[in-house]
Amino acid sequence: MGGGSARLGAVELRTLRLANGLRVALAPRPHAQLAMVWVRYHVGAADDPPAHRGLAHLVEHLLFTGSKHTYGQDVADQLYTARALGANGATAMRATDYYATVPRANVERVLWLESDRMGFMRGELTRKEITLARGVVDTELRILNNDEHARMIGRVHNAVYPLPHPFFDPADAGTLADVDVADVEGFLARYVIPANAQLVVAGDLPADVERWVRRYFGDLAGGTAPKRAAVPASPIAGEVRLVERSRAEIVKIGWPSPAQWSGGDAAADVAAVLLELNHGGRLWAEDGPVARLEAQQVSREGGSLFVVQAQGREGVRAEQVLAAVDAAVRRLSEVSADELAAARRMLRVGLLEERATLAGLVAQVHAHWTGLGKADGFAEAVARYEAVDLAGFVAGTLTAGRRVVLLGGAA
Amino acid sequence: MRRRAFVAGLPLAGCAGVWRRAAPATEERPAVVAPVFAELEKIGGARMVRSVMPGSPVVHFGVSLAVGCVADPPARPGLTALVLAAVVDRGLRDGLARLGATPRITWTADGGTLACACESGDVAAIVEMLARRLRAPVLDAAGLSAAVARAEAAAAIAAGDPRRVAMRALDGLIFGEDGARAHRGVAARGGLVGLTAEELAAHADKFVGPTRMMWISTGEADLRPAIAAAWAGWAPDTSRNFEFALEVTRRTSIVLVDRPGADQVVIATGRRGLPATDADCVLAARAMRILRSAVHERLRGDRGLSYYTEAGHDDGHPGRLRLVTQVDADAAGEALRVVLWGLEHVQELVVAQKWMDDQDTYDALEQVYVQDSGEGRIAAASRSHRLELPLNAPPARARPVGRLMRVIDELLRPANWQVVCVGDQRKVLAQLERFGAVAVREVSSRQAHPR
Repeated sequence: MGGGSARLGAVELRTLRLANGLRVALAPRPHAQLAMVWVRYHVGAADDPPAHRGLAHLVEHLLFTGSKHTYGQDVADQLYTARALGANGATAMRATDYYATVPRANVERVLWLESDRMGFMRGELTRKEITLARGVVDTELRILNNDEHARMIGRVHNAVYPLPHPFFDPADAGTLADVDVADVEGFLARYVIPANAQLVVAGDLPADVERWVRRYFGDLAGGTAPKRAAVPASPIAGEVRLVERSRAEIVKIGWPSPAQWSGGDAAADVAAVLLELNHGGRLWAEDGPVARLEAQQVSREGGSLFVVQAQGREGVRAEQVLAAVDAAVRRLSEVSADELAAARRMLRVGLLEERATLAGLVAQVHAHWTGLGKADGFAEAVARYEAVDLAGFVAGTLTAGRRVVLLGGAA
Repeated sequence: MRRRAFVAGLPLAGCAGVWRRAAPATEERPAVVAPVFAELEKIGGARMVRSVMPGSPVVHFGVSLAVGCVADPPARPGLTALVLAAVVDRGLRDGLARLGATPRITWTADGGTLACACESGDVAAIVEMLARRLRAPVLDAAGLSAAVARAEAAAAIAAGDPRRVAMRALDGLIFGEDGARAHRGVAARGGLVGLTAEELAAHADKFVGPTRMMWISTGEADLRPAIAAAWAGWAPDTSRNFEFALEVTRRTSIVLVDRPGADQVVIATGRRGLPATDADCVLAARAMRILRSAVHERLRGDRGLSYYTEAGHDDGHPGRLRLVTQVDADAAGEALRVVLWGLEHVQELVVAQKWMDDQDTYDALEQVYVQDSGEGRIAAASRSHRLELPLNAPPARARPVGRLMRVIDELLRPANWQVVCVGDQRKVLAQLERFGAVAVREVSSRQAHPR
């Protein structure tokens, strides 16, 4: 059982590795008055079996139905008893998270609850619960399809990562129709195990928190962390054009971009800030065809997506907007040292701001652990912005030769 | 009770310790101390508030303007919001960026907030920049054109989001299409076309001044010298106060906003709420928690029909009670039935005094939780400023259940509630007509923001 202390800014961070493989970080922040308990499993939508896309998301919902020792009480009731705030679950491409913030007096209850669903979910699920949860997941997925802009960006994403790519996002829960109890049990046995998880507890921590972590999680059978399949590159070659009717003249562009924590990932963050900031109006004319421009690097393990969304002024056609965006992207290679410095500083302040909150601090610990192999990777996370090769990123990634362009408008 | 199944080979399942089988005790009424806001001496009429966050690596600060879209001229919906957007012009954005700060604007019917985070050594410089810009938020022709285009682009995005379409239509029914609160600061498409820099400046001059401002900071530094320097010589013109526009309450009806091709329907129901200064606001909010819980349990827990049901008593003078859910089109009738059932039967639900006490605890914890971030502190102070509430309001105290039930009885009656559905009329109209007459509105590029 290993242990060690490290600094994460002003936060004392203690890390443990239990014999069953569970990684634990404890980050005291007494001023917070509350404590956050956040469990991450290294499994997400990209790990779904092809025949059951959405299974990780379905399991996330099912883990709220109650485990062996809650005796029929669902997790929401348990969390209410613990006076939990902001409690929820979330399924990303390569991770599934469960989190809650509670008063220090109730941290033990949440640790118990999380350990129970980590070790004692199997044998508890019924066909009826699966059917109900599948209906809710289906409705949740369709919500995005009903928002015009979310639907369009979903189309771009799925054109960059089309089936059978594991990043493809299903628009509904259709492939979950025949999921049965055995499928869910198999998923739990393979992925919802200590060896495939990490736990971070931060905030106003009780003196006994480490003892409780060891008590509740230490005796769970760890299992073997599954070997993660490598994510294939986006298969697109050339430019894919999509067209959609919309109320405004809109352009949405998606490029397959470097994976999270790679050098190119940092350059992508800088590029996104520069495009939005448009320092001095040098990249795109704010009284020109583009009324509004947003850029983002959606960073992910295995492969990311760089997105630019731009909206035209009244009377401007989407093609004109696209030409203006392309020109702005080309000019990225010409930004001055001062502009680069401003972008880096904005990113640094953003990271500082994030870690000033409990949720942000815990999110960073999880992300650094997964991506950098250490819980206190803040200095590295900031430093990587100092050495970005912006010109290389623009030339190598933001090319017209490998992207998806969606043009929206009245035509 | 759930089915118990034996899973052969489940490790350690049969030999868990006693401590595993019994849930650890919890504290029902954990005590927390709400963050404290210290009000400093006013400077040039502007309120100054500080709520220091020890150990934070950044300082948050913001300026709250207690004037919202109720001040918009009828022909220019969105103009007051545009003033705040115009403050953040090219020069200010570039200046802030050099110091790593990103300005964020939030807007409500009652006012707006412009906030930033930065490293502590930069606060004074940034506040000075901001204060000077607030003093003279003028734009040249290109800047004005860009600001109007951004506002119109945002309106177009809102028109594609069925939830926002539903809330906009619901506000129109509750407060009247031309009521000042109905557009809630969002520009109507085309509403700002032809706006001149002089119009914008005159509007800013009328409504943006220190007497309507509250500056809020989470750092130790005294911001007053920078603000005083920026506003030196300014004299408030108190004759230019505005009044809230008359609100119009319409009769109950079901309105269907047609979105051809939509495979889901958003159902929004609501009514006029209480003024933010009414002591019963907290009870109205709790009434909505009860209603939401009853509806959500039946829609999601029992039927698996919806992912979310949100409800609440929204701040304002007056506020708004609303419940919104979203389901597949073929479940529109069933979902509306559950919603109306909730409104009809919420008065019959038994509420225990213990639940009220639990809610007191939750409200106190929530205050600490949302103000864990500097952004949350700015928002809390700004809210008290806009709505003329005490800055350090004590947490809500237990009230008799009887009083809650009277509030429920007064506010939660289906006859007083408006219903808006946004979906494809070919798929949902027949389902909705089972519950009464349905007025269908055509979808158009302006449907989110009718003038």
